[in-house]
Amino acid sequence: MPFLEVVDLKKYFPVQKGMVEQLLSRKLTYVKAVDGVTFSVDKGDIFGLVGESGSGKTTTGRLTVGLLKPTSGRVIIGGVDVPSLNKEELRRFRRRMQIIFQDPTASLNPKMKVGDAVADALRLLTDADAETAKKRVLEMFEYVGLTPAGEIYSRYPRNLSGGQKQRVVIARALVTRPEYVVADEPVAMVDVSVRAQILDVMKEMHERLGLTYLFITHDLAVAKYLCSRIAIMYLGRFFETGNVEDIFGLPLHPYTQALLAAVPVPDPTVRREKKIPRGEIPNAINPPSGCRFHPRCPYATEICSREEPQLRQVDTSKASHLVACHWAEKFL
Amino acid sequence: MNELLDVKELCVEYRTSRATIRAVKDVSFSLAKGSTLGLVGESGSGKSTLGHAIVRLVSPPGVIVRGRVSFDGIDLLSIDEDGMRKIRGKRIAMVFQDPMSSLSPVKKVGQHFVEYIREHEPSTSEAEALQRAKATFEDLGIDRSRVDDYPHQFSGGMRQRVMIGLAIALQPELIIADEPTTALDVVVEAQILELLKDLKRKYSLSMILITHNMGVVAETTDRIAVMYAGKLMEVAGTRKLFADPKNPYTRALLQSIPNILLDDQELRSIPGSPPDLANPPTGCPFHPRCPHVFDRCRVEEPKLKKVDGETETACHLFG
Repeated sequence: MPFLEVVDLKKYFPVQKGMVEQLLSRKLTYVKAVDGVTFSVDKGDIFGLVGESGSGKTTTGRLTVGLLKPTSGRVIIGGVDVPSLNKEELRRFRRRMQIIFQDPTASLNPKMKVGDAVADALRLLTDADAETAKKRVLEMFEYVGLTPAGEIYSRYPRNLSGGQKQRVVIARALVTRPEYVVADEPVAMVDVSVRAQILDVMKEMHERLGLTYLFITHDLAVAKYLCSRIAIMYLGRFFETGNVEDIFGLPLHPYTQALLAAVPVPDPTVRREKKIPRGEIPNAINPPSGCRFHPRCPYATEICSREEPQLRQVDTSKASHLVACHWAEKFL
Repeated sequence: MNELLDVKELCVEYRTSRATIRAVKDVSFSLAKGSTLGLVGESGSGKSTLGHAIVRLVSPPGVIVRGRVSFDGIDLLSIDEDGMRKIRGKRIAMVFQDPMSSLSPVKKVGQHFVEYIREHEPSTSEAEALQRAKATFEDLGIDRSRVDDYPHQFSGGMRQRVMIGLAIALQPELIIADEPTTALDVVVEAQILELLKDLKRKYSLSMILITHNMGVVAETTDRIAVMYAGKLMEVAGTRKLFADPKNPYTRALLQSIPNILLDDQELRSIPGSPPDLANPPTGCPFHPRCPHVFDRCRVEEPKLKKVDGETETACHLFG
């Protein structure tokens, strides 16, 4: 039984229109941020959602922890149907699932000592008393490498470096002992020389606490380093999903191939032929017909503009490697 | 060697009532005509300040304290503002990270070109300037007719193309590109880097590319200068820097970056964080994080010097 199960998940956001437009047309238009996504994550796995901005990866992450209500579809965590929980049930459930955001500075109250901020989060979600909370925060600070913990506890965010702040955010997410953590670009705003530290902390916490992660990133190299399985997202859809080794070893979707080719490699001796697709991700209000990638795809034919490809197995030896492309056999 | 730009012992400080921050400390490097230099560093390393100081665009409370910037034999720090205006834009152009803040939302894109060209070349007619804008659009891979569009009608990547177009419109010899692709997604980033490379070849441009991304410099530059806490830590040919980094900071940085082509890569993280420049460490700025630190590093700041062929490094391990 998978720990997290997502079935045909959709989230449409209505588009704000001007008054005149509203009067003229009764039909609401929607941004289809997530448009029919199905996947599952086993307990203790790190599943990566990879995509460019506007692909729907952040919305998917938020839907899984109940921060957003889906338009349709199911999210089941540890047997619990998350969208059906009421406010109170959700609050109690929330200690079991946490989210780590991109910007540590925006995530922390500048007027609060970071230790107190983490203790508050713990007391809000559990019935720990002040003393127990402080003790557990200090333990957690030690755990994530915020040492000396006692001294860091009474500092304000402005007196911490970017890396330390992100560690505080991680400590706050983990102090309630969650089973499931959504990490939304946790290293995107951290200095380059500090990124590996944060990735290491996340990896270590995963191993020591047996956490299940949904790791959201635009950085394919980071996804490859940290995740065991990933999904490549584009305009609210999964284009390809599978084990990291399979996807990086033999990407079967033209978009995945393009993404991999586009990533700059920190090795000047590598000379790769770069097949970079034209244009940019189109508007999610009016996604292209058929395959959403077809206007940019070098392999597109008539069927691609007509029929939306579904995720399917193409390589018979790799059951978990699925791809949504009419022509995927070409790349085997 | 045919040097287009030669920077010597350049120092820039930000002076406030509370502190003096030495953002650029005794930086010296040169750029050969037609080549691309990557200026890499983390946020706060001073790389952007250095880029701006070259064209004297350091805004207060920043002050260029001393040093020399020689461009094609002209001492840029001693000429008057009029003389500088004839060089800035015309002979040295800049491309910034955020194109939207540089374009006026109420002006057609073509109009930006017309005004920019005529500001520097008053004798050029509007019609002629617009023709040149259209020709530049072809170089950028944008349809000529789009000179009549407004900036908001362009996507992020197209806007950055327009900014690059403005930079090359006056046929400069040197382009300083400050994180030109940082705000862009990876596919668009690759498109923009390809465009820069093409234009560089076509117009024999020289370029300084300022970035925090080691992958970007690996793929686009001939030489790299690594900056940390306002100081140049290492300068070397691109291949040499990656194959045989001398400075412990460069080495640590390269070992901490995930590479998409490697399987089961082991990352080595660098302990600690970059220093607070209002309160910098004594001696070598990297010493609190350096695995090879010894007594001298804590008291004496190492100077950049040649250690191996063309490689220059600032580290006491090398004498």
